[in-house]
Amino acid sequence: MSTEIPNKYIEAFKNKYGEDADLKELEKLYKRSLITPGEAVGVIAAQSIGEASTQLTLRTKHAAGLSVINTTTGLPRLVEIFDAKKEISTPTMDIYLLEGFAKSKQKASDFANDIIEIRIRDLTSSYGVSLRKKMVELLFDRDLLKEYNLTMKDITGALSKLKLEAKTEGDVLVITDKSADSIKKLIRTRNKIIDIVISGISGISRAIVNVSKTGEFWIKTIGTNLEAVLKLDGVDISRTISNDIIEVSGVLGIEVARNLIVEEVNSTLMNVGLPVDLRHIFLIADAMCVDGTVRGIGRYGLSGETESVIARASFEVPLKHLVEAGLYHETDEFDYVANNIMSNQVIPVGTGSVKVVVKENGEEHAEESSGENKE
Amino acid sequence: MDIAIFDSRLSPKYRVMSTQETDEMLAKYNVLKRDLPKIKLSDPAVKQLGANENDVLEITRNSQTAGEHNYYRVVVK
Repeated sequence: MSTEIPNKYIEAFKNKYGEDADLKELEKLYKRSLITPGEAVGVIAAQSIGEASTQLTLRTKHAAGLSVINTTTGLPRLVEIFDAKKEISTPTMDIYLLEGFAKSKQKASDFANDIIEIRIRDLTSSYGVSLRKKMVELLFDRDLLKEYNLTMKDITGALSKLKLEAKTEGDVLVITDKSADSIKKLIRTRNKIIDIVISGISGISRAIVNVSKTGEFWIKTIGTNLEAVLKLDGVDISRTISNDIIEVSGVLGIEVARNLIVEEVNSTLMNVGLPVDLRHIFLIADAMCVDGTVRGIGRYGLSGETESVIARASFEVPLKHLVEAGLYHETDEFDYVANNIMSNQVIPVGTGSVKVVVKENGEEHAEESSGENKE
Repeated sequence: MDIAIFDSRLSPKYRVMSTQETDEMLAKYNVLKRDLPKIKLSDPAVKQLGANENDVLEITRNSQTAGEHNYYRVVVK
């Protein structure tokens, strides 16, 4: 296979040395810069990020009590990304708006108010149950209703799905549940009622309008629901993104999730002043996304799925893996690093990855083949 | 309503490859189809492209280090 030089480098080379520059020279330089076949790139990536995260452990700072939205950063965030956690500790979205909305603070804050999830519980000032009258009584806060632009009608409308008798008396809503025969049941009905979403997008508990240097208004949220937000009018799809990688892989696809992993890891490391070469992050992100779903690295992810029994056992919880391998009659081909080290054999890395293959038809007697071509 | 996912800043360019192109690519890199990285049939990008199982997607990524380059994924269930 001949070497293909990325166009980016050809352009840069021509810019520097003129249009008729000798590309052979570039090819020589490019080939010299390539990584040697058989190099243990995974180990180098692990070291590069491992070194930075040791530093991070020492630099954890607490910023509790600030009014800005506090997202997980530093080491906890890195761990969260690499483990591909389904529920991350601070899901947030950056919502950017299209032309018509982005320049007006009023429109942006209206938009922010519209997407905040409002449940009945957020609007009531007090509520109570009465077993004798078999009813739940909710007292609404008039100021809150006004703030969110809601009327009692909106609330009774939302309640109609429950098939319960609801009456309004001013700010008081009385719901009668004839079937309730115990206080427990009434309380259960009450909890169901106060959890009903009246307006907004479920999952978004706060939305704060920010302004960028260019005078553009954008919204940062606590809680995410990317799919619902992207379907709204006025949202700039190109820039709106959630920090929940699993969610993004479901809404925008695995490739976008892969790019988001790279971006999140890189920005987390940049924010603490420990930049790591992007190529290491690319490698890890690609490995996490290689089978079409986002898998974490670690015991339950990539490392736990290695074919080699001994390699798995040498990583974590050896007994579990050895016993399971015995039970299910697993074999170990000894083509990984860890198992070959343990059995004092040449590891398939670097010069050890080259094998001699003899083709039986006699046309070629010997051929060098890299360890990766097992077929 | 479908979300215009290809408009996302983080979205690469996708293209479904023809059988001939796939074979040429596999021969060029000396790999088998099953060794390629995978993409689920349920992936939003696959759905919007209308690709079928066993199709190979040519994904043109824009990398900060390598510029534009191609990545390949085979569609699996």
